Amino acid sequence: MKAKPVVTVMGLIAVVLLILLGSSVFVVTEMEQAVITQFGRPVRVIAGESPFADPEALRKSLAAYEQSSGTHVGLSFGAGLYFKVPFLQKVEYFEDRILVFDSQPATIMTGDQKRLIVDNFSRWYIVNPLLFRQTVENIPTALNRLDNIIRSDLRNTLGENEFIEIIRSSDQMLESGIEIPEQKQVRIKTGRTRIMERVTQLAREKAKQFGIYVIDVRIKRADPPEQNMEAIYKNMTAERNRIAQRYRAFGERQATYIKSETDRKVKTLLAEAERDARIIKGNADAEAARTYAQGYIKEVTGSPPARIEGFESDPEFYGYLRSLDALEAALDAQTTLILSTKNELLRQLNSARFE
Amino acid sequence: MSDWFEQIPIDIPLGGGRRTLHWKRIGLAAAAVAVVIVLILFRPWFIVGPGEVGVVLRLGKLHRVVQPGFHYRFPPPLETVFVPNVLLLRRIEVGFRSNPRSPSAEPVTIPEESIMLTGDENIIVAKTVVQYKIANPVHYLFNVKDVENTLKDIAEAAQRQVIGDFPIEAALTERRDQLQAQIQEIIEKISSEYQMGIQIEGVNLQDTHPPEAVEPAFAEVFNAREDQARVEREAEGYENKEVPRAEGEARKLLQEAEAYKAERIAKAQGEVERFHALLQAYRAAPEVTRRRLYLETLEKALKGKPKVIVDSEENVLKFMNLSPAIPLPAPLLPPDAAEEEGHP
Repeated sequence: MKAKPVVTVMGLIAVVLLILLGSSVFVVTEMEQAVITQFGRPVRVIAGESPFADPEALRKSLAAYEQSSGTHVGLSFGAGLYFKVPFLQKVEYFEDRILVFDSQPATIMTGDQKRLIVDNFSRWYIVNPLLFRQTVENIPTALNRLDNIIRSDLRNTLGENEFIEIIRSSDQMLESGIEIPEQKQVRIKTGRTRIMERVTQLAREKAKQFGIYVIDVRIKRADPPEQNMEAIYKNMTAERNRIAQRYRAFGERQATYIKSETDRKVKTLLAEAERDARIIKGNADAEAARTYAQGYIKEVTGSPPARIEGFESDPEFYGYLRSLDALEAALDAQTTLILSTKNELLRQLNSARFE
Repeated sequence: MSDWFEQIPIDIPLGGGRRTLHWKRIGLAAAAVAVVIVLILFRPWFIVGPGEVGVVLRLGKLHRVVQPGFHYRFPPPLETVFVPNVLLLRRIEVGFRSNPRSPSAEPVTIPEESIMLTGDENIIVAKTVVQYKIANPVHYLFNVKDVENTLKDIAEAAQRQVIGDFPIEAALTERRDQLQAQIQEIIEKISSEYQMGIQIEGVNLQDTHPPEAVEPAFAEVFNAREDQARVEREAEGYENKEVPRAEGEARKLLQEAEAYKAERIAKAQGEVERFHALLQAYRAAPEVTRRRLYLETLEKALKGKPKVIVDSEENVLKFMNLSPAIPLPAPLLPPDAAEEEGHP
């Protein structure tokens, strides 16, 4: 503890120098932007280099501020080591990253008087740290302002559009080839994506005054309120029942098609077969008749075809033969014959005996 | 920083308290201790693990990006290091939360994230898993605050936007792949707008089903579809049974006709042949043949039949009435002889 005064003084000087150094340099990281103030008066802005930064607009805005306030405000870009006047100047840091604003779900009324619970979110970026510092100071206040802006823009814009425009974004469902009930085949005029673009533009314009760039506003959820669910479920059930009935009816129809076609095929087949059979039989009868009348050419293997004569060759002899056959057929077992001696058979006998 | 300053007073009394020792040795020892302490406190090195990259900021500004391994650095605040894992497949769940500690456990459904409207104003329950990787660690670290939540918001919005653009059937069955692809497209578009430095590895629209309250109606549609198929199948069965049967029947009719034809012609030929043969004989000797045939027929016809021979024809009628032993004459042609009438 008995250090020489020189050493003590040296040490003190070193500590003072260190503190001075610490107070005059500061680091801005890649995630930050900064505003340097001197007794509350802004002297310098260190802006970020995010993809959403707009150096030109910032430069213009600072120039305008210089004009109106008469003080010079320096402007630098990007992360790194920076110097300031120790003790007199103060550094305030701001985010250089995209920030989120997530709203509370709100009930809104659509253009066709339907209720929707809408939950939206928004991404935003501090484009003008100085303006941001001056108008909203910090992120919680900024979120509050954004909530006011977006909520009213959303409410107004959704209120101008019909329910279905908020649900759907395009007409691709109509071209999807899936059957949709007639009353739901509505072509949309705007659609969710364009509605959101509209809200984004409105909010972006209003948030400018806070040094905030609104990147987008998006609907996260848009659901019917709980008390409407029952009605929707009823509709869904009715629609499903209708579809089920149609499936069944289609089945019956198809079955009838198939069965009647089958019956037709069967009847046609049988009728045609009967017709063909008749033709064959008729031809057979005709050929048989021809054969009876005219005879036929007999094919015998190994010898020349022989001509067999038909009944026509001697009709008289045929008639004779046929009557003999008929006679034979007519006289069956039960026939009692009363023969006269004048009969041919007996006459022969008689003549044989007495002549 | 402050820790380091507090250490100094402990070292100095040790070195300065024992004046009898040589200054040189004390100085060396103190220097060695100081070096160790400085090394431990400042750790002028860092290790980048497998799958990670080291992003080094020097004085707040991006200086270098290094690959896995051992690396030197200036101690903070001169250099700060981030080591995000760029190979890790990260996962975001929309509509449900699985338990990371026990992956097999039933995931918890989050109704406000999973119940939504479809384009035909039906309600559906849908859940989505988004898998992603860090593609650009610099963008990932410095462009967006809270990437994971941002991505979750985007995924939720994208899922609803796409489901809201299709009828319920598309989400339930047929078009799941198409919907998935569209969700992925939207997430990719927005996340590249934000330059979040991530790459979407996959979007999986899973477990889409109608709400419990309408489940029976949907089951009924399913049943109806089955019924439709069944009824149609039955009709096809009828067709498959009846048509071949009719075909068989038709073939049978034709065959019968053919048989009739063969029989008919054969019979005609046979009879003609007999006639032909007799005719030849008749031509050779007409009178004899004629007589012979007649007598032969009579002989056959009269054989074995009751006969009454009367001398003259005058008494025939009287005779017939007087003899009860003789049955009345049967019809001249027996019924089976009618067939023969068809002969030409």
